[in-house]
Amino acid sequence: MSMSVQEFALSHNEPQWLTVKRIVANDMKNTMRVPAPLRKFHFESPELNPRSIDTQNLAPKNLQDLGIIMMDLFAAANEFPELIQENLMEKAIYWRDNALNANHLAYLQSGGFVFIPKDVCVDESIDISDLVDHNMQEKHLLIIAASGSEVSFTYKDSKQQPKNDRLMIEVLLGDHANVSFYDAAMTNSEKSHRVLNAYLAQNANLKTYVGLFNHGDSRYYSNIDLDGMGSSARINLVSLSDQNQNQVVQTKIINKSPNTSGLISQRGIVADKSKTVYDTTGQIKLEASDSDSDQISRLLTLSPESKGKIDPILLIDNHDVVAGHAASVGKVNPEQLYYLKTRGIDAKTARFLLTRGFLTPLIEKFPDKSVQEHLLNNLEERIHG
Amino acid sequence: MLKIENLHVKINETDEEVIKGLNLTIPDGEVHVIMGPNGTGKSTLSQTIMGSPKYSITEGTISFDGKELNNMATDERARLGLFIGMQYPTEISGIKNVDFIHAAMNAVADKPVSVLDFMKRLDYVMNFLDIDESYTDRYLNEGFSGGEKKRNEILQMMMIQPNLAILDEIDSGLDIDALKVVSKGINHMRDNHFSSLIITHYNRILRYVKPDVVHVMMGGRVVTSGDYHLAEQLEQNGYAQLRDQLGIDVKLVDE
Ligand SMILES: Nc1ncnc2c1ncn2[C@@H]1O[C@H](COP(=O)(O)OP(=O)(O)OP(=O)(O)O)[C@@H](O)[C@H]1O
Ligand SMILES: [Mg+2]
Repeated sequence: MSMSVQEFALSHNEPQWLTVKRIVANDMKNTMRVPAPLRKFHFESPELNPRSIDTQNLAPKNLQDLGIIMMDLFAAANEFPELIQENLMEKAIYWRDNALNANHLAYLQSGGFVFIPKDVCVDESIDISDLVDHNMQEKHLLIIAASGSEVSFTYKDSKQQPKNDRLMIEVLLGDHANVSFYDAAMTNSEKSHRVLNAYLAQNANLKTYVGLFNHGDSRYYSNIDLDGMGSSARINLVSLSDQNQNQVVQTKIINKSPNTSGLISQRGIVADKSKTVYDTTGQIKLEASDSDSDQISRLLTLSPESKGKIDPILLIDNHDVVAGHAASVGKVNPEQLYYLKTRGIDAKTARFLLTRGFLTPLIEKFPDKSVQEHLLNNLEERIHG
Repeated sequence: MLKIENLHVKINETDEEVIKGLNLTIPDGEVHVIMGPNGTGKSTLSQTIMGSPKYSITEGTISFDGKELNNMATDERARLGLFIGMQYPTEISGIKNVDFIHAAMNAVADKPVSVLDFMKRLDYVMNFLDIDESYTDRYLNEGFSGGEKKRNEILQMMMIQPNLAILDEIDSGLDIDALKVVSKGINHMRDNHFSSLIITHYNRILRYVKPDVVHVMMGGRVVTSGDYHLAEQLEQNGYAQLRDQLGIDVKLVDE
């Protein structure tokens, strides 16, 4: 039997401030709007059932030795109340933004918290996939990389997924922090909603590498705030949609301070009767002199029935900047197809090689080899078949 | 044997007839050369033999080893043993040279070529052609210089080992060493089962690759054929004089 928000909070010994925050969010959501593009992903609230919480630091031993914390979010709320209270859905993703966010906070079922202490550097990518329970609908990750730290994270979806899937990721970077985030979004859910918002202090640097290979309708949203002077962000995203899938990618980098740099590179394959929309925004605020903002988006449509659409937007308040965008939606290049055929390669294989080749230059930039293979194998299964 | 009879070809985009009643026969084991002024239809002819979707045959036939090619798909022609080294090889980002060549060999061979056999042969041919190792991991022709692209075409030819290689201006843009290397590659292929159609503007490649027959093409047709001396004669006297000698009515590009 399903529990109320309050009962659920009590069941795993949540701190009172969090329970109060959830109850307020639950009460207030009815007075909030759901913006039109989000309506399809404003899922029904999930059934809440008691969960047992592991209160340990779940980081591998070698990382614990460096002071790294990887914890269940609810356990961390007890252990590090100030840190969580100040940051959870307050900075990078704001719970009051809309009814969907408020509901996510109120019905949050599973979450993870990661803290990288000052000046800690880790070479190999830290796998944070298991910090959340993949079977839950409302999942959350809060990541804090303190000043001068240098790390990369890998998140991969598991095969088991709920009917509706949502993961919201908040990444906060201190001064000079350097973070890479590899995300292999590959759910079987009917609907998937992923959010990654980040907030960068001075000279911080964030690179995200996203493979959007979900099987159902999906929405990927990312908003990166270049708040600190000299900060920079790169979003690298590859996507695949097939059958009757509907996919929306909305990415935005906001240059708020001088000397900031933002680049969005996206490439996607649109097969069968699917539809993919890329909505990319670069915004340069008045204060952001000597900054740059760039976007390169390309979609490859494989069938006459596949629909691809790119909406690049540049919002510029400061003209002392370099800004640009390039966008194209197209089919397989007939000259290239012909070249492969002159070497005896049959039409079907040639098309597959070109389709894979379209994503390869971007996928090869994903430094995590296992993510690369994961994506390429999935592509082969779905396109070559 | 390649046999072309009364071939007429039009460009699909413009509907313009470029090849106008061309005849050409290349027996197995022979190297033939076509020379001719710019814009006369040499590349159109070679792409039509390979089945490029840009051109249509409106009359006549092309056959190879007794099989008519007119309606055969390009990849099928390649599997029959035809190969084209293009005047402007296509760049393809995202496909590595080495993967492409392996895929091509597998496509043409009766049974898959093992990675080991493939790598051995690739090593040998790259050595033979004096090609830098870094070629293999680069994307197909992407950012290659003009000469590098031509060398890469010859590398593919030597890996695939076709029965007929059409080489369209394979010598253009090659430095002296590269020209020797490319010629060495073509000569290495020469035997009773290999024939070649070399399209060129210059005599210099013919110093290294001795042709059996030289054809001159003008106004979309082969207007005269001869031996190596025909090429020398052309180099000395130019196309206008030959045209007037033969009494044919075509306009040359720079007139
Ligand atoms: N795809 C095309 N679209 C439009 N015109 C074309 C196309 N292909 C060939 N042509 C035209 O057909 C004519 C013959 O071209 P082709 O490339 O076959 O000449 P060529 O003999 O190879 O010349 P060159 O010695 O300069 O390479 C030219 O006038 C050319 O402009
Ligand atoms: Mg030509």
